[in-house]
Amino acid sequence: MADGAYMLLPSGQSWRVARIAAGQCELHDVPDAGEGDVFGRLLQVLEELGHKGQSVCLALSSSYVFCARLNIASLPRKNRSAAMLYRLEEQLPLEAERLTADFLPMASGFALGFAVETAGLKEIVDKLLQNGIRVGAICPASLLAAFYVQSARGAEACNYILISDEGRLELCRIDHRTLSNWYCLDSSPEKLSQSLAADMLSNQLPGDHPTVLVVGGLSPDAESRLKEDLDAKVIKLEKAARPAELAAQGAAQVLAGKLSCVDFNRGALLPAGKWGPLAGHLKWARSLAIVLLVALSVSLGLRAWLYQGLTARHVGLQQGQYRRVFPTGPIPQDLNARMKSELARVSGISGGSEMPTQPNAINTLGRVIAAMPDGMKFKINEIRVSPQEIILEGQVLNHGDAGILAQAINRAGFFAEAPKTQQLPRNEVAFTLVARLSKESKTGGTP
Amino acid sequence: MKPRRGVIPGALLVALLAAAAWLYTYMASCRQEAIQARQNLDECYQIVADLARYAKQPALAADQEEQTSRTGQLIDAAARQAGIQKVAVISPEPAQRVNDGPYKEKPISIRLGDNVTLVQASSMLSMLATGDRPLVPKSIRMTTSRDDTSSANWAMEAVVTYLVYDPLKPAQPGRQ
Repeated sequence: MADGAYMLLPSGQSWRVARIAAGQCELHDVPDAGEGDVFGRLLQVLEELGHKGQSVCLALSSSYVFCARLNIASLPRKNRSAAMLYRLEEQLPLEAERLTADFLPMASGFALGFAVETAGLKEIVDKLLQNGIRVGAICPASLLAAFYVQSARGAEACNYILISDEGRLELCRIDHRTLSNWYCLDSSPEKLSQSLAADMLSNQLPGDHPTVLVVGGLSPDAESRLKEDLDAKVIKLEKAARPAELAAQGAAQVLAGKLSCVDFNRGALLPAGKWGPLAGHLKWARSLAIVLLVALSVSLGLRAWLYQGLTARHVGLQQGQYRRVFPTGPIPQDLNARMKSELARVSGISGGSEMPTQPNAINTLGRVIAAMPDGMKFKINEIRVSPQEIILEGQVLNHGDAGILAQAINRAGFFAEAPKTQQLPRNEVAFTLVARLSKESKTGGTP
Repeated sequence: MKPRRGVIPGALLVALLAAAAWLYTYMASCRQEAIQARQNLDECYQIVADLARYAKQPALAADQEEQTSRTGQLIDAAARQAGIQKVAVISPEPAQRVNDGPYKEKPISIRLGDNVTLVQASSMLSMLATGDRPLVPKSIRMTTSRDDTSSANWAMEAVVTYLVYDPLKPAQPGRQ
């Protein structure tokens, strides 16, 4: 993992590179040796400092940045950012379309608007990116220092933060621990004292005497003027640090997401991203994926709704069919089970496949009588027809006639055993004939 | 001051993906329900068609045991049509289940007097066997005296049966 955070500070024709690692800051100057060569050398210096491609913070001199106080109480909530930009435009010499802006909300319906001209910065950001330096934040250097100092000092309150760097003076007014104005001042002690007095006149301070926190060096003359003219309490940082170093510390925290500062890394100044030229396509792909997912979700919801409609229609038709069979009574949950039960009952009554065959004894009797031979005298005294057998008892003229009867019955499809015969006193022969029913005779009955 | 870039679209993408996944499972279950409902409806149509077909067929079995008076009326009517003066005995017997199947066979013993002819007895039993509610002769016993030469002096005992559709109830759990 890459170690440290990096800040680039353009300053006139030269650049400064800051590396912040383990709380320590190193500043390196990169002079502009030739046309268009500075970005290559910036990369070279960064690599020498151990840069591994991580995002850097581009710290802007206050000469790049416009600042104005805006009344935003009456602005609509919808498209508020655009409305704030156009309200900021009213106070600036450039059109809104040429600006990249950020805003700091304040109490009582006011905001502090900050803007930079997009075109010049865009060119720098693009050239940095072309040289492999990805910009993660674009912040005013003075505000980085001021925000860092305020963050590091915790709850200790002050009314002003005065930043003095290389002969320039910048004044940040703090109300309720929030930045409420930002000036660039004349460096002469008189002007400083007058500017502070004018600000105090226009804004009521919570205490009797202003508290001024000084970042960077302040001349003894200027300090004494503040104390004498305004009865100000002047606080100096314990550790003397240059504003650029404090700005670098602030940049490290901004890049780490631990500190919130005015940041112009938005809109047209956003780098193309780590996917480089593909970023635009990826954005389109993401938008397309969102649209497709919405369409897919709608389509799935619609299909589910259609299926629900189909289910309701089928259930309705099924209930209609049920009512045809059972016109009254409640409709059960499982219609088909009830109807299957009814079908089984009706099928069983009408003769389903499981209906047993009933042997019809009258058919058997008819076949036996029809099989009796013509022209032969005999008398039947008893006929018994059961599902298993037929028993005939009677009388014939001789023993042989009983056998003829048995043969006749056999020809009709029965299995007649040899008849038992017995000679009777009156020249007659009694016989008992037992015949079993053939398989066809058993099953061929009437169901 | 600005929010972290890409968080909102990313969260939106994830939410949409989750919504699409949930909607897909919901749609699939709705689809399955619709298919099941269609199958149930088709089955229902088939059952109604089968019911209509069976409604046109004659009933070959009763759905419960007939009342004794009704079977007695059927037997009396058949006897009168066959020219038989009276039926001596009509005795219903307990129904017996056939082959452990869904049908029971209900036997009724009939005994006629000593003065019927074979034709009368056969005619009566044939009529019983071919009626709307058939009573099928299962066994017949006809006897006449050894010395009697008249064809009109037969005595008849018969057992006629009809089927009752009475499927076995499924065993209830926990009951012995």
